[in-house]
Amino acid sequence: MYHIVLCDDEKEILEELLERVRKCFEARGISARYDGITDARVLMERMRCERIDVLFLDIDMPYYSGMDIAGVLYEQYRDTILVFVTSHDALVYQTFAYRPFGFVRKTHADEELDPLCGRICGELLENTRELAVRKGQELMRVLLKDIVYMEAEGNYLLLRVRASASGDAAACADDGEGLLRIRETMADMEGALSGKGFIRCHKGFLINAAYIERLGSAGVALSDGTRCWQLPVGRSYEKEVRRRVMELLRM
Amino acid sequence: MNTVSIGLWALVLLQGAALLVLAHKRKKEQAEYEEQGKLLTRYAADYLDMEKRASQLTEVYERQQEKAGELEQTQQQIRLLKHDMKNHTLVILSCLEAGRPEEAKRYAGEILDKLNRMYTYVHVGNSLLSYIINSKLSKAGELGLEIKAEIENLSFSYMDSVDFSALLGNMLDNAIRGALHSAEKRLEVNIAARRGFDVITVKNSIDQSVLETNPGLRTSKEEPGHGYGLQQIRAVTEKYEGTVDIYEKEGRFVVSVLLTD
Repeated sequence: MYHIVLCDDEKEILEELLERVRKCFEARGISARYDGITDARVLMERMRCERIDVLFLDIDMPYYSGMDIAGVLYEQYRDTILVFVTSHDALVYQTFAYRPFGFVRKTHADEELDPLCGRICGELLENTRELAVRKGQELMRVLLKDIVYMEAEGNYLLLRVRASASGDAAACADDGEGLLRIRETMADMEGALSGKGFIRCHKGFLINAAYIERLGSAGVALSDGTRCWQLPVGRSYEKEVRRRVMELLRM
Repeated sequence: MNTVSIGLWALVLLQGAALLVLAHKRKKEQAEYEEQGKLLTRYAADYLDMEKRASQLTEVYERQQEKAGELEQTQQQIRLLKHDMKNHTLVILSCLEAGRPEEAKRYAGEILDKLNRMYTYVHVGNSLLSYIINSKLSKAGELGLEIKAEIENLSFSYMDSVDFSALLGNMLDNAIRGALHSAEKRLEVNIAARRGFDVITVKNSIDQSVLETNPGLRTSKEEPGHGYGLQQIRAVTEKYEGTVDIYEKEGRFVVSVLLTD
């Protein structure tokens, strides 16, 4: 069950939008709990104690602006899919660091909401994809989105798990640094994860594209919000990595 | 004989002295002349500098005039708008008072349509970026295009102004032209720093795939399209070692340029 929240200080607009959003998600077979919030202060409070999967956020509100809230989301609750709702045709950001998933104009909600909800559903499903791995005698499930990258180590693979990982991945990461050692070869793993957002950037590294922070001449930088890793890009992988990042930037 | 020779000697000496004086004078004249030459060169250089500065100032002045003109135009538009709104409200009110709500509704709908075609300007720190976006998008709005823009305040300081305006200008011109040829008439602009790149993405609505019917993206005279200007977009991007990504998605033709410092 997902938790979908709308926040807009105008009650009538809020209710109308909420109804539309509900229809879009229900049409796609997504079961969710919906909340409409008119006070940004209440939203801030709720963010602290509840998990929010999708947040539709008005930008112009009293107390906290949508941008303020987006900043907090980016710092602390990065899993929340954020959509700005606005009455403007053009949005200007001082910084895009907040990375909204999209923006919907109140005047064009009819045409813009549905395709956007489609994209959100894709993302929600993507977020639940798992990988079954064997660690010793145990079989465990690790969410793909919890894996930042994998490093080859002889006949083993080291899985780097993100700081905010939950479930099996967090419980089994051995060293307190979020490293998980499993018996698997790089080639097999690359095959199993093809088309699932992972990129081979080096003979010894398979990276989760979602964590790419920057691609440059010095290699590729990954970040889970808390820590950063600089990994090499092998000469023969350069072109493919660049192509994949380009695809990732498509919108 | 003696007096004659003395006289001759005196004459020779006199002549010598005169020559010396003359030579000295000429030397002095030459020095003066050279000094004047130097001065003249300096004046000429100063003049050239001043002329350059003057032309720069004129340019700045002209740009400011242009901006002032735009501002004046905007203010004029606002005045007109206020005036119009007053009239519109009066018409709607009179319809309602006369008990014809349908007519009032239709009238209000027409105004909304008209208002939607007016463009709200963006303001970011980079004035060149603001200028290009504002002027091109207003033009697009006047042509009846539906516009959506998300702009991050990026400096693009590693690019020459000329190159930047050629790049963004051509991207927008192409998309505006493309959108005008489609039924949906939509233009979307997104400028943001993402994953270490400064990304400029411009989308326009299309009725059918351009990449399938014209994979080389050549311009034909009958149907001016994306080929025009694309060469320049490619050239500028190449100069700054960036990447051009051209694709189609959800009924949109997309040109995206990835740049790095």
